[in-house]
Amino acid sequence: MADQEKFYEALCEGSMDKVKELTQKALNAGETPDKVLKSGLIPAMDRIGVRFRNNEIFIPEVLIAARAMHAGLGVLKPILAKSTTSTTTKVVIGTVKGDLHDIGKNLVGMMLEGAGFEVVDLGIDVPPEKFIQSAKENGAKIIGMSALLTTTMMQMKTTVEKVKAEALGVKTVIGGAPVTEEFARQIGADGYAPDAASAVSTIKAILK
Amino acid sequence: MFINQKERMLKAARGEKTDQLPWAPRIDLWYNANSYRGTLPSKYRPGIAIDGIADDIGGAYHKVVPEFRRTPEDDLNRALGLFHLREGVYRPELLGVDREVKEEGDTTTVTYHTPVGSVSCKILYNDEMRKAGISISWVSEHAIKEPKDYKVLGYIFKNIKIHPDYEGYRRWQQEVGEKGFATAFGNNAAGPMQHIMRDFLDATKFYLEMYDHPKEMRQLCEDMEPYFEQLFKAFEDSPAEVILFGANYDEMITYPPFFKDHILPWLQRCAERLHAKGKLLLCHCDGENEGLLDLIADSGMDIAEAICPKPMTKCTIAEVKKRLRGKVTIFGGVPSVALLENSMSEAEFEKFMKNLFREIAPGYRFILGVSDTTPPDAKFERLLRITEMAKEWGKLPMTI
Repeated sequence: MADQEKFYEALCEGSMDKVKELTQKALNAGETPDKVLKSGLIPAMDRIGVRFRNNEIFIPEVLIAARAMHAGLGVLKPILAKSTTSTTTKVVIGTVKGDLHDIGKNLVGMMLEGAGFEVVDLGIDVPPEKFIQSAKENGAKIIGMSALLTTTMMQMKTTVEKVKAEALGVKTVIGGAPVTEEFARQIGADGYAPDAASAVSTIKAILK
Repeated sequence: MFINQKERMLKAARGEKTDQLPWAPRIDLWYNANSYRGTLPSKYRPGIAIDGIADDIGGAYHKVVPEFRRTPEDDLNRALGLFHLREGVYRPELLGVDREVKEEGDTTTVTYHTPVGSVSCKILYNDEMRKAGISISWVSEHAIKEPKDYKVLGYIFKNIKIHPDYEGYRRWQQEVGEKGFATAFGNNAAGPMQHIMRDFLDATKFYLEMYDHPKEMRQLCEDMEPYFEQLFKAFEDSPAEVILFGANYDEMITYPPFFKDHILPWLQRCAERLHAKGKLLLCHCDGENEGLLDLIADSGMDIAEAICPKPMTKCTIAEVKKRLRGKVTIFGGVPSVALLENSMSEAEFEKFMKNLFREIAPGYRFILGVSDTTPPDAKFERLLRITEMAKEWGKLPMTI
């Protein structure tokens, strides 16, 4: 069985080499890639997420851990790709049309990847149609939208309405400085995340 | 005794007792956006100056964040965190640097050639930004892309010459007059490390670089010290009473240990030097500050401007006041969403504002403002209503 404790220690150190080595070692010992991911990497990263939410560690520690996790995923992906079943949930994220701010959105992306989601980052200034098209193409379950400006937050409403009209079964989650829980409720978004740390738990709760 | 708006704000900033709660709404972005869109309230003639509208609102002038981009040349060095401001107290000169500028559509590529190498950056300013009233370009490609770029930036900053030039500032200070304090713009960053974070790298890359190239980062911080020292000197001798150093703190981005290690000591040093010359330090604190409030209280800053409460952040004004322990003047309090009809109904706005005034009471060390700015789609009448509320409930000590 994948040694979660060792994965956790390697992720805390941000050591890409150690994570790759541990991943390969687990595969060599006969573990399936799915099990290495779900019993090793993801639970270890979840522990880091919990420490982050508890303010025991901060963004840099999460980012180096997420980067190290990516190195482990790099070992697993070619094997997982041959498998017929998809093991990860896809999330499309982007900053809405007219808005160029990307710090919050990037942090959310990193946190989601760290939690084992596959993130399709559409970048900034993303029109509603592009969110929808990407969700369709990638089979995403969630569209995550970010805005920093009060002038652009209404693009979230437009996107939510268009997503609903398409009846794709895709859930929408919003966040960003001017966005409040009340606003999310008003526009019919399925979830609201006040910060990057809570985005993961919000999305997990929606997917349950 | 009559106290004018400027004196009232300065007294609040110094923690002295005054007669009335100052109210200074920031309307520059709202003004820019609505002027550009042709949607200023119909009672205002086209071309009306921003101060004419501020006079009509009836509060003090909010003169804190400068107009960074009157002409494209003003913020051409924006990716280096350098600006040429009409109301500035200094002019930066890049010595030993050959600057190459290429424009393509809305994007401008600026390349700095030095004897130790070159760095290039891209800045963007487009129509969407104009419509939103934004007065500063966006860095779409940062200067640091490879480890070798640290050395080039170090060279640029070691060789910057700061020319104190107080004429533009004096003119502006006179224009503002008794209607508010004219905040002199020092730097958006409080010290070299925040400068690197804000201007030279995108945020996520910055954190990884802290692990990957700490030595280069430390060296660049050292190389930037002479620049900041020149800035200090220019401001110490300036006619400015209030000076802005440091902006956009946020508990996630400038997380507490980072703030404690890299921002707090720098702010304390800055405050000490400015206070020795009788000047006040203002920081633009428009982010989520919950985890930083204790550090802000100990920073030496006199004014935490753009303090934004719930529902846009985690803290109420009562909580912010408690954590700042009366050591810092709060400038702000009205979250920008309170001015939007699609975020708060009239009844919700009235209820929210009355509660806010209750939390502000008794009202010392407080300047009421919009955090961080009046949004372009704000309901203008709500600004007028706040003026009425400030008159009705703002007599100090407030007893609402």
